Amino acid sequence: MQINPDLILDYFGNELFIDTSEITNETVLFSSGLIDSFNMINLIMFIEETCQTKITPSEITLDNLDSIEKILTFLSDRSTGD
Amino acid sequence: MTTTVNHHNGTIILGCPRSGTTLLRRLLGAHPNISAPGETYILTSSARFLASDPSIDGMQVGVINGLGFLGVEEEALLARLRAFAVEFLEEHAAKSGKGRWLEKTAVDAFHVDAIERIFGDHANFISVTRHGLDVVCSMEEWCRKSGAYPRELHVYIQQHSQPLIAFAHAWVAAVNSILDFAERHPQNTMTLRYEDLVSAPEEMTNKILGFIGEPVVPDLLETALSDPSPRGFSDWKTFSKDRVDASSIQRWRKLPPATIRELAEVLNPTLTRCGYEPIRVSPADTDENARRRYEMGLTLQSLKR
Repeated sequence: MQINPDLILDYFGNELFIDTSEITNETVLFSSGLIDSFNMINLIMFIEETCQTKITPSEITLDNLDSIEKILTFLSDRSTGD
Repeated sequence: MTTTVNHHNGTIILGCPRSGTTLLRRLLGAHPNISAPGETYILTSSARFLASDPSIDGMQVGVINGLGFLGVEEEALLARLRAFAVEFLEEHAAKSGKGRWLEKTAVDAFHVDAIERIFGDHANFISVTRHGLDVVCSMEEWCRKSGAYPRELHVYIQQHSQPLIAFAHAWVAAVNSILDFAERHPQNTMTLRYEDLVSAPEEMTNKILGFIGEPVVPDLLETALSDPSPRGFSDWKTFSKDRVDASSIQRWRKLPPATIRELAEVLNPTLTRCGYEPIRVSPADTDENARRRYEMGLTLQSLKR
């Protein structure tokens, strides 16, 4: 399955019980404290399951995962081999 | 919900600690005819007075049989104990210029059987339940901030290595004993849920006043919440609030999924009995996933530096 912003927001709201009303694609997720470590791990596992992939420890960076936009860019670059 | 009007002079609130019983006491204590002091421990202490231990031949070794050998009938002992407790509460009510007393001590919830023996049909009872996961979270905060576990929780802490699981078992025990009591005493017990109280405080308070036979008075909530000073033992948190709101509902959602899963196993049957939805849990992680989660956690911590 392709991941998209709505899918991530639905996951935030329905599974992590996070208020998504003010979250945009650019909202800083982890380094702002909006998502704590436990939920960040859950988000990574959700991405892995949805995209049928494995994210390596070296890929767990703020550049790759700290906003919805960064997550989508990271996954897109990954699939095109950038 | 029971709606019978009762004319007992006294009302006893029963609810597991951290279930909103202090808030309810604060609201009802603002009524011009209801005296609701801080926690007196008079019922818990009376219950402890009745405690006994079984001897090897099955006889209960305690005050009931001890005085029984002197010819004191159990019912007479219970009546004298009841009168002893009530005297303090009535005296305080009279000093306050109020006609009725209300007693609420949080740990009474762990002495329901003994309180039933003393007061069973001799008082009104209001039983309050709150979602077990929220109670567990609040208990953890309560014990952490106070730096101690109430005596009634010791047995659960001794039996369970994780405090949250211990609190969950304590909630299950307290709530089931209160619900059992309510089923045995439908005529003089009114049950309500904390979530309904904070969602509609005026409506619920008025229903309770109807149940115990007191008239509704205007501005009761405003009167209750405008008095910020707790007297006696009490939950300090509720007195920091000047309004009733539902912000303390579903605080448990911040718990990690693995913790919720473990708590759900303990809590779900009793949640269902209380009319709550059972907690929905995802399947447990495989060992491999659990290891990966741990590794991810370490990596994420390094990102915070």
